[in-house]
Amino acid sequence: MKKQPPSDTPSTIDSTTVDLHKRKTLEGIATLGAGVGLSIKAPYVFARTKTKLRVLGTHVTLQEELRQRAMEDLGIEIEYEAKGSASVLQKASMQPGSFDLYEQWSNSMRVLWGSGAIQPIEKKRIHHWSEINSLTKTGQLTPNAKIGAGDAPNKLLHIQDNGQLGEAHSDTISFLPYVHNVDSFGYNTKVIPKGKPYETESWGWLLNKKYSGKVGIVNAPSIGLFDLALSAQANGFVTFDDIGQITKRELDTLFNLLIDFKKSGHFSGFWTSVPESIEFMASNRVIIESMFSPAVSALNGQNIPVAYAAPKEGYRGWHGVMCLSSETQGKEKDAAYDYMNWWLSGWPGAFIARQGYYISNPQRSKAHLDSAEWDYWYQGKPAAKALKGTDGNISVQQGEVRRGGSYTTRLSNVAVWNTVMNTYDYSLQKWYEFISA
Amino acid sequence: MFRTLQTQIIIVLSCLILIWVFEIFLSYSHQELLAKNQLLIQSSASELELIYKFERDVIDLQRHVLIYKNTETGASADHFKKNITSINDKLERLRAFNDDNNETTNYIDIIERVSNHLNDYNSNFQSVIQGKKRRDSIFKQLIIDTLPENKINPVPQKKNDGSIIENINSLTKSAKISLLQYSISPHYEHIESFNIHISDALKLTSKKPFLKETKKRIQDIKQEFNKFTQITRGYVFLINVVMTGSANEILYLTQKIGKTIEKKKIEIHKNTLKTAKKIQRQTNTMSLLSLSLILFCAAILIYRTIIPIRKITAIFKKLSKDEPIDEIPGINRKDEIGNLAISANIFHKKNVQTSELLEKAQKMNTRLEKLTIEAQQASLAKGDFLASMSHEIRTPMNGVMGMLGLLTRSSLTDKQQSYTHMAKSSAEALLTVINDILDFSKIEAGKLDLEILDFDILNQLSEFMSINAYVAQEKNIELILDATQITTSTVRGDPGRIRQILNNLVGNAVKFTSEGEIIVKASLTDNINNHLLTVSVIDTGIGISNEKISSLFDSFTQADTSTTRQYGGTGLGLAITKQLCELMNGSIAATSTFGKGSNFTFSITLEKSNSKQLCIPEISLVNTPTLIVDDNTANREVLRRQLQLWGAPVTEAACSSEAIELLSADSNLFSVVIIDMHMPNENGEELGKYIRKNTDNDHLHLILMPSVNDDFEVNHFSELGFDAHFPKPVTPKELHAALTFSLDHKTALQKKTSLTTNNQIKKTKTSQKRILIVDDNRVNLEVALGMLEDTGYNADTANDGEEAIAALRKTPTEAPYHIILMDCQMPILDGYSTTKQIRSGAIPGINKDIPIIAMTANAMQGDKDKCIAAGMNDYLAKPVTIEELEEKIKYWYDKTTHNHNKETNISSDDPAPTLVDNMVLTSECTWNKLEALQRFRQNETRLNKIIALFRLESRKDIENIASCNNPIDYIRLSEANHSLKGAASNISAHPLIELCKKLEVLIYEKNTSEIKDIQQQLLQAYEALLIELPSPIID
Repeated sequence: MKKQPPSDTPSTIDSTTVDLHKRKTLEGIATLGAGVGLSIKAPYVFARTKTKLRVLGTHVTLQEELRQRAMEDLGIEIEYEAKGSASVLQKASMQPGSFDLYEQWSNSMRVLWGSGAIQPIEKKRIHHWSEINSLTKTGQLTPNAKIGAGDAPNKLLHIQDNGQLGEAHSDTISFLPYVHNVDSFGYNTKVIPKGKPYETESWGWLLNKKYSGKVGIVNAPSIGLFDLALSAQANGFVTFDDIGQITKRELDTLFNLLIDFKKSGHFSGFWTSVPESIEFMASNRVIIESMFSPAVSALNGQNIPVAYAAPKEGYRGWHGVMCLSSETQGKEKDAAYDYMNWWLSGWPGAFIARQGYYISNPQRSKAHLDSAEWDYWYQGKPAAKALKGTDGNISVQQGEVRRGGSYTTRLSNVAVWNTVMNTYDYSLQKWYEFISA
Repeated sequence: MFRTLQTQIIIVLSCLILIWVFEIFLSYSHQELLAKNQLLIQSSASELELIYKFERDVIDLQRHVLIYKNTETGASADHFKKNITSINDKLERLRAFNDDNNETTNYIDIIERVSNHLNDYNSNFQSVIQGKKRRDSIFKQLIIDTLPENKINPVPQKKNDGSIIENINSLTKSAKISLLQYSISPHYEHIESFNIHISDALKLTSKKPFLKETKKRIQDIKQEFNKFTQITRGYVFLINVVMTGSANEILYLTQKIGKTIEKKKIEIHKNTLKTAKKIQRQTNTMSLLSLSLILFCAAILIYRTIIPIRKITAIFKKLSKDEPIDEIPGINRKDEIGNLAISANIFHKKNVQTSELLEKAQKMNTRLEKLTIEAQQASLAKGDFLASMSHEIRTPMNGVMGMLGLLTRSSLTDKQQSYTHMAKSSAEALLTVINDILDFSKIEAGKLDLEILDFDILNQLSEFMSINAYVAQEKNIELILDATQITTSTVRGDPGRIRQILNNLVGNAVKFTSEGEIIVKASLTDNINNHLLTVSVIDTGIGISNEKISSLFDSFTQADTSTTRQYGGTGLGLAITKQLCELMNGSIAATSTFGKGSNFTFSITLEKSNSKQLCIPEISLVNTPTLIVDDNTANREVLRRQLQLWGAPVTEAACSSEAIELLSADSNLFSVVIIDMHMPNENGEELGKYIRKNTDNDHLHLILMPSVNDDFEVNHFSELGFDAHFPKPVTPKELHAALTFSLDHKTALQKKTSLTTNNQIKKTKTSQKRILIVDDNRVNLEVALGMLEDTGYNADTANDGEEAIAALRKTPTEAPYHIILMDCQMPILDGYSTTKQIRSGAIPGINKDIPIIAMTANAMQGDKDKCIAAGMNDYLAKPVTIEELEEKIKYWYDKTTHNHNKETNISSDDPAPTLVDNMVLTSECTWNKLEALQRFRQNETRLNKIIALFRLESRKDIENIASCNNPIDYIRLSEANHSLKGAASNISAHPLIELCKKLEVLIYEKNTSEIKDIQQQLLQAYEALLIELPSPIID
């Protein structure tokens, strides 16, 4: 994790001009490359073009190992532009010309689609479409699975005839379903006794007065708000009609409560990056905080016993989306499809599996994982041996069991998906009031 | 090597120095540490201050962001810029603050994070500004350009179209309202409202082809609005969430830094305290350690060194006091103490040895003392032996000599006379031998002491020459005295010993000379402090070979053993002479030409006398041309020089005929003729007769120089016509006297008087001097009596001290004894005791001051001292010669009558009737000149001298007599009276004498009143006498 850039917070959103200029240059190069590609009649799947593919996204998926591997596999030039989720979204929505592929989470879909920054993706060009599991297709991996509130990915996947995004299946989709996971909070078991997944572990702990002054929250309204809302609801402080669509009034109530907590010094910090969240826990600044799974792995690697809770209320789910820029055409578009297909080709899924993420077509990645890895990461079984992370360090000790169980179990317990609600703009104001209190 | 105290002390000292150095080091490092902590505290304080400022700046930054968000003024952006610069600056400074502790990494990490947040914050703010600008421009575009109806819709072409356009317009208006509402309050409902209206408008446009343009525009508007909302959301998100989060995080981290620093500060403070405590502890420990070590060292020093040294010292003290000691501590130690102990042991052993040695030494000393006493006793015994030996020898010798002397004077046959003479010679030789041996013994024993007194050297020499003249002239040897080099007569020295030297030398010369002459050449050199008397005895004798000369002065050596046989003698003479010379700080040397003669020259040192006198009174003979007639050249020479000294023109004649020749030529050329008696052919007597035959020679004064052996009647020479005569050898004094006499008494010839200076003893019948001889030895008594009778003294005898005292007491006062001759060793009461009794004054009726002359055979110096100590006045060693006896008696008689004339040569007051006849006999008025003159053998000069002396000396006495009253000082009065009486006696001042005698009695009776009376009478008589006495004449 240390290889990651220190921050994934948005840094700039003003590089439009530069990026445009860059893009035109690269287009030229790509054209030249395409000509070469044709003459040698390369195999179609991983057409070896020296086309440059610009990928805009977050650190979660824009990892150097992946880029190198992709470039190697695809024979194309790939440029990663990693930013914080908010700025990625803003840049993408305003400047579709500045990227070819957009990698983020499902909660950005309405904005992107609404702003016309992305173009539909043809299902037929996705080779392993059929292998993509039912989570995005039906919203449930199993028949009994909860359907999480908010922007569940299946609700946004298909492009409807009216041009809107909906559940009804069509030939085109707004994004390629690939990386996804469920988030919750982590807690230091040295201080807080380890709870039972789905039974005692609760979002309510975040607002437990016992942990006052030792609580950390991710500084993002579209994410942290849900952690806090789930917590408030779990504690019975507030109730929401639809936690995926919180009203202004409900927000007012919630934030009044939160501001009181904040003023009482309940919150120790609001992190803006995964490394920061690690530092919070490692420095004992917090004992319980909103967390992403890589941070948990890292802390465990540092021998800080952090349990990634499996709240009985269900997880906050997130689903990665890979979108094609509305302005990307020709070779770049081909390359973009190649890249999308590469992602579902198995190895990348296995790679991110070792970081705790799931891929939408797990069976193809299974071949790239050994059975211990598969059993641990997907099956929810105890690790048959110590497992290494992508950085080569041991991230899972032998015998360890993934908190929350198997892929199916975990994804069947999503309370709410990360969502940009209608009250998003209002929540920004309230969030400011909250964290400044 | 660690056993010696030195090493131990050095080690101990080194330890102490090390501790000291360590303490210094400790103190130094403590100071360093404290200073460092102080610095740290200061630095953390400034860090804290910086942090607070930094925090304030961050808050300011946020404030400016908010102001910008609300007012969108450029000023806020400028403030922001300044602020960020200031913050970055502070951050850099904070970054510089890091120390070496573990938290550094953490600190740097935090700073790094703050820095990142700040960078993000700054760039986000720039994004906000840009976003805001874009939003504004989009907004303007939308409101001003896009939304007005005329810009969206075309001119209606159909009737229906109009309503559609109206609907579109209405919808766009509603959208515009939503836009405006959104711009004020960016909420979702406005977006939704806008989107509904726009979507509806789009729907309408899509139905009519002519509204294609409108549709396009509306789509653009929709697009622009979307951008507008996105931008709005973006910068709101940035400001509200991201930047606020960053700012909060920055503040949090800043506080954390502050806390860290505060904690550090506290830590430092704690550390400082801890350090201080540690230092205190270390210092205490060190002090304790030092103290312990010092105490330890002190203890070691005391136990190992001081106490043992004290013990050893005590031992040494004991040893030095020689007290017994039991055992020596520390003897087994290997250090200095051990060495000391060993030394002490040695000392102790030595002490023991020393005591043993001491014991031995004491024993030895006792023995030595005993031996010393024995030796002393032996020495005393030897001395006594010497004394008694000399006494025992001299007593019979005295008898022998005396009797022989008397015998020669009695009428004997020639044969008897000859035998007696031989016996006497033998006795004298024996006496010489004995004296030599005794003298030598004394010198050897260091017992010979010199008798230092004033004496007349010239007289001494003259006397000596006269005495020796007999022997010499008997051998027909001329004995010549050359004393022209003596100008000072009175010197201090031992005349007896000088005479002894002369005796030896001249005796030898006489002995070894058969013909020719013996010249005694004397000179007296004046040095600053003393005189050097050099006397050469030059003879024309047999001489001494060169090889013998060197050993001449050794004991028992004579030039030749054969000479001993030929000439006799002990061989001690010259050895004694040499030693005597050396005793008198002088030396003796001899030169000789074998067969021709010898020259013995000795030099001795004599002290200067306080009463210096010219030996010969000055006499001017300038007008007295003198003719010397003598066959002996040397004699002539001496005479001539002497006379020339006095200024006389001298002519010499070697024989009578020569003299007659000279006189015949012109007798008037001469005034005085001095004629030697013994000359070949015509002797002096005949020459005199011859001269006197011629009346032309009447003016001539004739002085004859007979031999001492010439025994003539007193008037024999005057009858022959000589004016005066004196015996050879010529002495300056006699020559002077003769010349003076003959020249002064011009009528001498007519009066047929002659002066004789002959020292030959003449009998005198009358003598008032009564002498008591005390001796137990009859022979001695007889000898002394005989001698005294010969010299004209009346003497009584006593056999011991008691008899002597009885005799003295029986003596009538009008005829008292004048002198006692006292033997020393006598039975019943010896000489010493008798003298002491007399001197004590315990015996009434006798003159306790009577001169007592010892006459003893004890010839040692100690004997004389013993005599003087006992109160005797003088001393005569037996055997006594008549000359010595007479001399002493004369001397002491004169002394008691206060005649200080030391002339002892004159044997008797030889009456000269012719002279006396011519004297004016003065009555008994003040003084009897005739009687006085008689006392001085008619020598008026001498009398005058005495009178002059009287005038001088008596003045003192008379003054004393006159001034010793109130109360009367009897002693002084008595002394002065006695002195005056004596002085008056010399000049026969009888009235004064009588008064003195009266006063004497009165003093004895202590009759005060009459004393004063007599004093007056005395003064008157004295004054009268002074008038009568002739005026003093200076000669």
